[in-house]
Amino acid sequence: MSAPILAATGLTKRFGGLLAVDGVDFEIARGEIVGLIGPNGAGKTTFVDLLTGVQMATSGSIRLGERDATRLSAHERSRLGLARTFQIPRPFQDMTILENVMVGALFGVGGRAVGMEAARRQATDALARAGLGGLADRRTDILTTSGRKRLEIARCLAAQPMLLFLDEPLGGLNATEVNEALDLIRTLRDGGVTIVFIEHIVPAVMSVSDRVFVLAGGRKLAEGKPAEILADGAVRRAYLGDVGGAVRRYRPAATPAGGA
Amino acid sequence: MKPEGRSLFARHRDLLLLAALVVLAAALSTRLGPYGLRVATMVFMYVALAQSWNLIGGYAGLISIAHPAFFGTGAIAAAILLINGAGIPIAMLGALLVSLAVALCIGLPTLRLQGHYFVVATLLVSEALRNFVLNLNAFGFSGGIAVNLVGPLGLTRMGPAEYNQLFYFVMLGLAAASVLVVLGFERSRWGLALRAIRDNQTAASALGVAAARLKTMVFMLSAAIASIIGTAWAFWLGTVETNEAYNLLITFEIIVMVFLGGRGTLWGPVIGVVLILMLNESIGIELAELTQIVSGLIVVLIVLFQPDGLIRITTDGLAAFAPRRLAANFRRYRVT
Ligand SMILES: Nc1ncnc2c1ncn2[C@@H]1O[C@H](COP(=O)(O)OP(=O)(O)OP(=O)(O)O)[C@@H](O)[C@H]1O
Ligand SMILES: [Mg+2]
Repeated sequence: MSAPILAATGLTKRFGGLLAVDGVDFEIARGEIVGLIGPNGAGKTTFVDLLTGVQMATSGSIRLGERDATRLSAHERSRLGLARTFQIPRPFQDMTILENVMVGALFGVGGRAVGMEAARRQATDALARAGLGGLADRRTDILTTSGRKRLEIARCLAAQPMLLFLDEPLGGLNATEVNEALDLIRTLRDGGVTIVFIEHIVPAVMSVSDRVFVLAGGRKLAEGKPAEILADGAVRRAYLGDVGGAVRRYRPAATPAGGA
Repeated sequence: MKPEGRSLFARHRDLLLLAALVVLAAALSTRLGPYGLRVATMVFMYVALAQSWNLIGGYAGLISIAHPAFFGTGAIAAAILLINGAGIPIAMLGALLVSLAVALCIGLPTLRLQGHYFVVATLLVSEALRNFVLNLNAFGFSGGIAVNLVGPLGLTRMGPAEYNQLFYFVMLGLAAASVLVVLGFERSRWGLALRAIRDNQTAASALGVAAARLKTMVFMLSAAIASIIGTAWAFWLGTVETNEAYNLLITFEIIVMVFLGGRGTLWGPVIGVVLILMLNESIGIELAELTQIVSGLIVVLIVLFQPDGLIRITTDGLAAFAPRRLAANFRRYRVT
């Protein structure tokens, strides 16, 4: 693997007596798509919170390229090239959908210097790519769950990140929309964006990831190519087993995907 | 896209409206009698104050009760400088600098607090500062005694009419300037960032907004404007007294005005100021308590039934106050 653009060592987060993330080592190279899977409560969201600075780690360290990012705040990491969607969408409710996305364009990685008009154009473009074109001037409360997830993605796109974390972005999407989203993820990667992708829809993760990273009980359970992970006994017992039926029933073209 | 397509008039509508209001006010100055002039000067002063609070309370959504500290320090620090022989420009500048230092001392710790804690902390800090100044005995200033500024100001050669005219224009200028500041702010990336923080600070930070720094900057800007108005107010009255300068009621009044008109909007506070001051003037000084009760009632009703304020009429017409809409707002916003 070439020099990682992000590397975490011994990353740990303690909530009182609970070790939500427990000494996890993680690396990702430029241009990779890494699927992050694990049962409910495995610590996936908390792990991404730690990497993006939304929460501070109890211990462990994080490097972004050459820099020690362990103590950097979320906005500083964003400016260094990170962006993330939230599993539970966090729209800016008192703004239009376009304005929501403009925040990404104005303050994210690519946008620090652009003026309002340029930000408006970039935001419009990001909305179209995320499938929300035409809703620019509406308020966020008209959006459905899947619309909110798309808005999360659009805001990140406008920020032009080099490393993008997607926390269950497919919730509420139907099968066609899931495939569109996966295409978007591949397109982004082809455009040079590195991606960490959390998702419970296992076939979706497997189809798009170069590498899969499995968390269970806050610890790394396994890591490897999608085929290796699918064949891994420990992973099957801890995670895939309980959704095995769903995996077998999953038909990308016909069945609607489950909710968030 | 719509923004590019907007007509020149639409894009500069707010500026044109402001210019028209200023021209109108300037033209009125010679037509108004002493009473009208005084009320109008008061309206301008309150517009400027309400806009300064609107920045922090409206756009940033931080219900700061620290405003008396800035308004009061603007007045008292300028008075102290004046009676010690400083000229008017030095007194103005010095008071502004002292207020900014006070704002930094108040802002840095309190802006880390969440919601209600911030409200209570700013209230306590500004009351503490009032008590401190009340007990201050230095630089020829004694906190409990009113300071006469007429002599030190050196404006004794002006007749009362001229003097009142001067401050009519001073306050008009401050009001216009504060509207301009809010307008510029609202249209800028910082205005958008601040609204993002107000709606969801975590998401804003994750998108690259330096939330803590931006809130501190806006707090300072808001404090600076309040301080300048405090200085102008002291000069206008020609006498200042600590309890009046650090009076919490002025801040409560402007909060009522901003909520009534529409917080976080450009013209809402202006509407609120005009309505509340008209109410005060019509009820009169004998029934001052009544106006406070009515003001309190107004805030409760507006927060419960139309949190966007009266300004909604300009976008939605009377539908903004249709019973069904009010009931829907009530269901949406009440605490259950
Ligand atoms: N702020 C918090 N305080 C206390 N416990 C927390 C907090 N956030 C998360 N946890 C706990 O930490 C564990 C990991 O939660 P996390 O949300 O990271 O899991 P997850 O893998 O994202 O789960 P899901 O698939 O349901 O999204 C859970 O047991 C959760 O209850
Ligand atoms: Mg999660």
